[in-house]
Amino acid sequence: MSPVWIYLAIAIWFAFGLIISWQARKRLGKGIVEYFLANRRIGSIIGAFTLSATVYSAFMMIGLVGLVYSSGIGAFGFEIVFLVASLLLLALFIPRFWIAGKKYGYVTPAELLGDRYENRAISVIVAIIFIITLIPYTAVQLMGAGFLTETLSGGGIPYWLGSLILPIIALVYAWWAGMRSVAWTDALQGIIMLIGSLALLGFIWVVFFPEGMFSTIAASSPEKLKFTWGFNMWLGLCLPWIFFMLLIPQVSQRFFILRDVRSIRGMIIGFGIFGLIYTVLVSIFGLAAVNIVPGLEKADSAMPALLSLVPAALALTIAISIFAASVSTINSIVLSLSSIAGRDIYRVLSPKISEDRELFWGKLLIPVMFLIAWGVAQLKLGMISILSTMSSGALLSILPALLGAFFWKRGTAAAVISSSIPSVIVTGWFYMAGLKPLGLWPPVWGLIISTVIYIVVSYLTKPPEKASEFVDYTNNWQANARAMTE
Amino acid sequence: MKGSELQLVWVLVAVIILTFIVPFTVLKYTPTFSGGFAFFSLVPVATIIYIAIYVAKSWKELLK
Repeated sequence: MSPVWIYLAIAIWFAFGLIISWQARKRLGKGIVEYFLANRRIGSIIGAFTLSATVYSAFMMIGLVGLVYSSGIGAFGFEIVFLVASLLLLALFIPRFWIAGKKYGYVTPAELLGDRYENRAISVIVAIIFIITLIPYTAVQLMGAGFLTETLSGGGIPYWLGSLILPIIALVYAWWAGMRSVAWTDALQGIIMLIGSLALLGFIWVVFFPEGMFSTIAASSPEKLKFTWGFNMWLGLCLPWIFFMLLIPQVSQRFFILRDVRSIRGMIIGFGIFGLIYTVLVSIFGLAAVNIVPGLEKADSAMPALLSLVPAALALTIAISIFAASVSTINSIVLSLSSIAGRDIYRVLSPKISEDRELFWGKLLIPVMFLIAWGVAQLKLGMISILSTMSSGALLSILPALLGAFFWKRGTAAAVISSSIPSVIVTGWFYMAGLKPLGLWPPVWGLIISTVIYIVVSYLTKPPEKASEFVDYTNNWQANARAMTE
Repeated sequence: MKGSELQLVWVLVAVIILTFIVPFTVLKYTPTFSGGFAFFSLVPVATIIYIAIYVAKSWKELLK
């Protein structure tokens, strides 16, 4: 396909997003809460779309399609375990994050942890962990875009350029109008993601499987319908993803933006429906690709190879839907890291800083972060799905601290610091060195280490005074929400 | 944590156990769509319905 068509499609899509973003900018008020949390006034539908579009990224249409292509139904199951565990955890945690945000004025999840444990160093440490782990995660998005544009254009748009266009678009949406712009454009991206996927499903079904898709795949590639994953791989990939929604800051920060309890309900149910439809569609594409484009050397190229066989207009629509998935994740990362850098690092180092200065410094880090992520993306490391899982695996190190913050009054600041740092180091080291002692994947070891240290050190040290008040307040969130509205 | 929320935790534990047992016992031997694909599609459908009912009941007062 001619690169001109790809540039034109991107320009039209970007223009639509820009109109929505401009509307959001017109409503932009002053202050940090307004910029980073849309003044905590996001409702059900936008809340559901922004959460869904933020969570479901280019990983799905590139990485998951590739994983289903190479390893069959197990990859679908792994994504479903993530979805169902997330839904149940969201019902438990969103109300707690939300009420804590309203009561104590939190803007970032790192700020919540630092305040709950009464230790500002925790905010800084958690912020640094977020930044380090989000670099490969952001790189994954850029890799997806780079691979896709390069393949679609037959090399006319080089990988380096394809992986550079999306962050620029994401930067524009996030930079000039903050969370409201990001959330509104995410709704547009979410709709494009669904429309693109449904269109592709229709085409594949009619053109490539006239005898029926499921029966054809069952007859020609039955091995892909069998569950062939080993237990340790299943555990190593599922474990980080079960808690992914709570640990990744651009997702958990969205728990602060909701207007009321109805919006919380809308966000959870809407995310569930979106997630189910999108996951099923994407997994079908992976299975269909086994039949349509068999024998690919790189599993991640299954979707680009599939698109090379469909009409140009449809291929462009799907490509834009993948770009939409990517941008909606990238702009959320941008915004989240921006708030984290300003709030949890710069403000802690300079407590008397004004809100304007905090915002200024937060934004300043963004281009630097992107350049690093873009640099990592140029290395084209491994399979996209493994790289994504490595990010969420390292984030598991703060899981005991997060659970303890909400449910265990005995949890202490010393325990958080002493558990999270070694756990991140061990997880990262095991991943880099390819170590799997006793066959267990790095995140499992990371979680074991952080949990044991967190519990032992908590019993050896004195809990902060705020612990009791915080745990009681968030556990009684229903009564407190009622009191807030009366 | 209140009783209804504990129920959420137990459901989470049950779903995780289910999704960790069924694949290694049943789905290894069922190379059909009515095996793995149907199982992994139905689990989230049931979860969404359960959560919709749970929220409607447990958050009743706050949703008025």
